[in-house]
Order: sequence, then structure tokens, then C-alpha cells
Amino acid sequence: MSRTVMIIDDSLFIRKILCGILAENGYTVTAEAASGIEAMKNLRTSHPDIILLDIILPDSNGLDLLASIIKTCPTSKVVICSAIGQEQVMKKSLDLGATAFIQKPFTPEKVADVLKSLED
Amino acid sequence: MDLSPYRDLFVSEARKHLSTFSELIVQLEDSPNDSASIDELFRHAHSLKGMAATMNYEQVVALAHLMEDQLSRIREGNYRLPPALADILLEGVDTLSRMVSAIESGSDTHEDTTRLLGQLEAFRPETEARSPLQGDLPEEEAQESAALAPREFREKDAFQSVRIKTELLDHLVNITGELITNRHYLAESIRVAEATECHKPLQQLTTLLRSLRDEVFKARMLPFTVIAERFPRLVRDLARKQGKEVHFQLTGKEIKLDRGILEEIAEPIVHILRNAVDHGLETAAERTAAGKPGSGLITLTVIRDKEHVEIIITDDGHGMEPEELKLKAVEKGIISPEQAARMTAQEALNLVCAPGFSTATAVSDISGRGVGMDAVREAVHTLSGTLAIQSQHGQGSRFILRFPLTISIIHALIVQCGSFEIAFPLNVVTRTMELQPSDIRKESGGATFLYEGVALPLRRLRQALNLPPPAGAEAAYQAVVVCHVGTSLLAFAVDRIFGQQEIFVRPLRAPLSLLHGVSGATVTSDGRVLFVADAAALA
Repeated sequence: MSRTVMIIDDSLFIRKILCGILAENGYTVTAEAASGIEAMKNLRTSHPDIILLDIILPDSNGLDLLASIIKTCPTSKVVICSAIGQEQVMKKSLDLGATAFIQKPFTPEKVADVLKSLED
Repeated sequence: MDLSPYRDLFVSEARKHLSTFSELIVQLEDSPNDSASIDELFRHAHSLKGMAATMNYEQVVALAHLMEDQLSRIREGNYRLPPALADILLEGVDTLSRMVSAIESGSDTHEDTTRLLGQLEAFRPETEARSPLQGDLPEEEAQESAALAPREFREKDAFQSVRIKTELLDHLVNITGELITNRHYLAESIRVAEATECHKPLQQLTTLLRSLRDEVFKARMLPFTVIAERFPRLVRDLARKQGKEVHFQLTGKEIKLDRGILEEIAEPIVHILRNAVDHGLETAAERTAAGKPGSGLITLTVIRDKEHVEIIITDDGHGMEPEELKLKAVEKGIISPEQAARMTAQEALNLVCAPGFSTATAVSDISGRGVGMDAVREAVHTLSGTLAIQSQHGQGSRFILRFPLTISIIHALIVQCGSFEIAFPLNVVTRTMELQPSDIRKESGGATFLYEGVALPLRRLRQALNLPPPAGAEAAYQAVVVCHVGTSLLAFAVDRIFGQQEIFVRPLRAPLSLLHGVSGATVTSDGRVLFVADAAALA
């Protein structure tokens, strides 16, 4: 069965390209959100298997949002997408319970690799 | 993976990053202690680099990377943005914009960025100005910059909007225009056939058409910021070139205008701003000597009411002296010394718009065309707008451009002239009258009649349009349309006045665009062509 994914990123370009990569690798994107508020609204009704989260969003502190997501959807695996230079934030995310991270800028292959590692 | 489907999205998002980036730089030069802006600049460069890396646009990545590097140095070293670096970064934005355009058009042209990359690599903030960010600020200023609210710079992009091509919008406007014309035809047929049972559906149709028109026009509206985002940069660059200090204030950039108007007014506004920096403002030394602050102020304000929008550009420079303008106009043979003597101060200010008045025939960088104030006035009139000039010697000048909110559908007064039907836009019509032949006085300078106690010039519309005079006996009365042209009133004698109608105006293409005194046309449902009068050109 294909796994369900939610993408949280304020860039439409990033969301769409991630959708493309995920579809090619057999995942189903069930929801997209451009902000923390939008994301939480959505997560109240659906719990995807995987959540891709951009740690820098316009309306939220990424780490606080991550904590709320993990509390709301304890079974979802959260993958943090973040840029180089955010190593501190990444470390804290993993401590908070994030499963993996994808470093931006990413290539389709890198994203596919990270997702594959979640299967194991 | 095929990345080409994501190209359009990349282009549109990259453009948003670049325009915010360049706005932020100019803003940062104005308030150099705003460290939040440095962070934002860094993040825009960084996001752009990330997107480009994903798409394999290596040239974009390389340039954005070095720009990001410089910003990170400023950020870490707590330095102010040195003007020389601002110049390089702005050049970087321009180059990136060209690269994005090349990506959009699918062309393979490669920018030669060797010099720019070299400059970016070699630049060290320390070598320019060693001025730490904190510590040397007056306390007030520091508090002020700290109080600035963090700006929302990322846009929510949900599925609440779709991108459509502008041609499609224009097409929708055309169809709406046709429908409106068609409704008039239908209403006329119903009236002639005395089909009273059609009145109610016709009324409903009218209401629906009105809301369709309003909605379609709303869809064509864009915020003023679409053209305004380059103005702060333009003023800054011009001021730097002239060695002047200028503070630029832009208010009302969120106000929406018809896309057609925005396209046409950008260039005139650029011209007025250019004049304000080049000729309006004094140098810092001159200003200080005159007891003014060393830095000049240029403001651009957009305000709107229900039907109109006003764009007001002011400067606090030395202003214009009516007597000097008259003198110059006489020297250039534009007016005679007698005319000059009779002129009011206001009329003298309007001389700057006379063709041939401007000595600075500067060719604009942006369009490559020569633009003078006469071209500005012309452009404003073409959009059915007005231009007012105010100036106070020693205190500065003010240019007020006033436009209807939309241009394509206008309320017009339809008149007959020979075999033609002519539409006068209602915004220029003051009133209509019927004159007895005895009311009209024929003088050497032309016909006049008494209107509110003043002798008003009366032009024959047939003559103005180069049409033959009417055959047969003179009518018992003369139909007249009183129009305001610029600041004065003028009347046109017409054959017959039909009444008001909402018409959809199409611009004329060559050779029709060469017709004198006509600014557009509309085709009625039964195929007749109706010309729109340009009262200013007919005067």
C-alpha cells in the first residue's frame, strides 16, 4: 500500500516539486500546507504516514510547530527540510522526535534516498 | 526526473524573491541599522539558491551563493551595508533577473558574470567603512529600529488562486464589452417593438451585466506596487549619480488599478521622478545654505475614491518660478511676449508640458525613448486622465495625475456629426445646451457665446473633424456640448445629441490611430462604428 505524505512548506515551487518526486517514488501526497496554522488545521482531521516539514515558516517557530505536530500525530514520521547552516535547529529537531532530515537544496535522488531510509 | 514542468513556478517564485530583495536593499540603505532586513536579504538569496540548485540552474546558484556570502559577512560582523556593496548586490539582482527571464523564455544565452563574480568575491566590508552596527547609534534611533514590526515576507500560496494569461482576461473584457453594447441594442429593439413583457428580464440582464463588468474589471486590477517596486531603486540610483541625498517615500502602493493604466503610467511617473531628482532637488550644500535639511524628500502617494485614482508626486526642492518659465517659453518661440504677459501663474506652470519646452531631451534608460513632460501629459490624456502641476518657489513642486479606475468601459455622451456618431467621455462633459442662432456671436477669433457670464469659444465639431458643413437651411437651434479641456472650458457645436450610453472603447490601430481628434472607437451591435472624441486634441 502506498504511504501517505503531507508537505508543509511556504514555497509553492518546493511543494510542487516534492509532490512530483514523491509521486514518482510511489507515495501519495494527501495534503499540502503553506503555513503552520494551515498545517495544524489539516492535521486535526488526517494523520499521514509521513510529514515533510520546512522548519522555517512565516507564521511559526519551527520547533514549536514540530512539537505540536508530534503531539497531534504521534504515529506520523516527521522529516525536517532545512537549509545548510541550520545544523543547530536540525539537532534540536531530532531531539524533539523528528525521524530524519532532508537538507536543502535537495535533488530528487536525495529526497528518494531519505524516504527509502524510513522504510527500513 | 523531468524538471521542466516546474520551470514556470520557479520563475514566478524567483521573481518574488528578487523583487523583495532589491526593495530590502534600498530600504536598508535608508535605515542601515535594521538587522532584521539583513536576515531577510540573506534568506531570500538562500531560498533562491536552493530552488535553482534543485532545478540545476548553476549560473543562478553561483551568483546567489556569493551574494549570500556577502550578506552573511555583514550579518556576522555586525556591519552596516556599505553603499558600494549595495551597488554590487543590486547589480547582482539585475543579473539574476535577466537569468530568470532567459530561463522563462527557454533561451540558452549565458550571462557573462566573470566581472560581477570577481567583485563579489573580492569585496570586504572592512575595506569600505568600518562602522560597527551597534554602539554608535543615538538611543532614539536604536529604539525606533527595534520597534519595527517583523515583516511578513513569505506569501501564503494555497489553492485559492490560479494563474491565468493576461490575454484571457483581455478576452473576457472584450466579451463583456460586446455584451454591454448588445444589451443597448436589445433594449432599443424592445422599446421600438413595445414589448413590455421583456422589461423585467431586460432589467435582470442589466443588473447581471453590471456585476459581470465589475467582477471582470476587478480581475484585471493589480496593485500599484507592480510598477512601483522599481521606483525606490530608481530614485536611489539617480540620486547617487547626481551626488544628491534623497529620501523617497511611497504611500498607497497596495491600491489596485487597471492593468492597462498601470502599463501606460509607469513611464510618465519615471519621467516625473527623474525630473524631481535631476532638476527639482538642490544639492546638499545648496539646501543647507537655504536652511533646509541636507537630504531632499520625494514622495509618491496613491489615493483612490470610488471612481478615480490619484497619483501625487512631490519634491521639496527649489520649485518652479512662473516668470522664469514664461521667459524661457518666449525665448523658445512657444508663446509671444504678449501671451506671456497675459498668462496667470498657473498657466505658466503648465508651460512645462508644452511640446518643445523641455531642454533636457534625455533618452530614458528604461524605454530607450525620449520622453518629455509633453509626452507625460499626452499619456495621461490618452488614459482619460488629467495632470495638474503646483509649485511654490523655494519649497518644491507637486504633480497630480488623476485617472478613472478603469479605461475600457466608459460612460459617454453620444452625438451625431455628419454621417458619424461621436462619443464624448462623460468625464470631460460639463453640460449640454441648445443655443438660438442669436446667442452665437461671431468674432474675428471665432464664434463665442455667453456661458455663465463668460464668452465661451464655440468650435464646430464638423470643422474640427474636417467634415463638410451641413447642407440645407440652418436649424432653428444649435446643439452644443460644453467640455472642460485642461483648466479651461470649450464648447462643440454638433448636429444632434442622442444621449448617454455605456460604451466599450477599443484602442485604434494604424491607420485609424492617425485620425485627428479621436482616441478610440467602439462597434455597436448593428455594426456601426462609434468614434470616441479626444476633446483636448479637438480644442
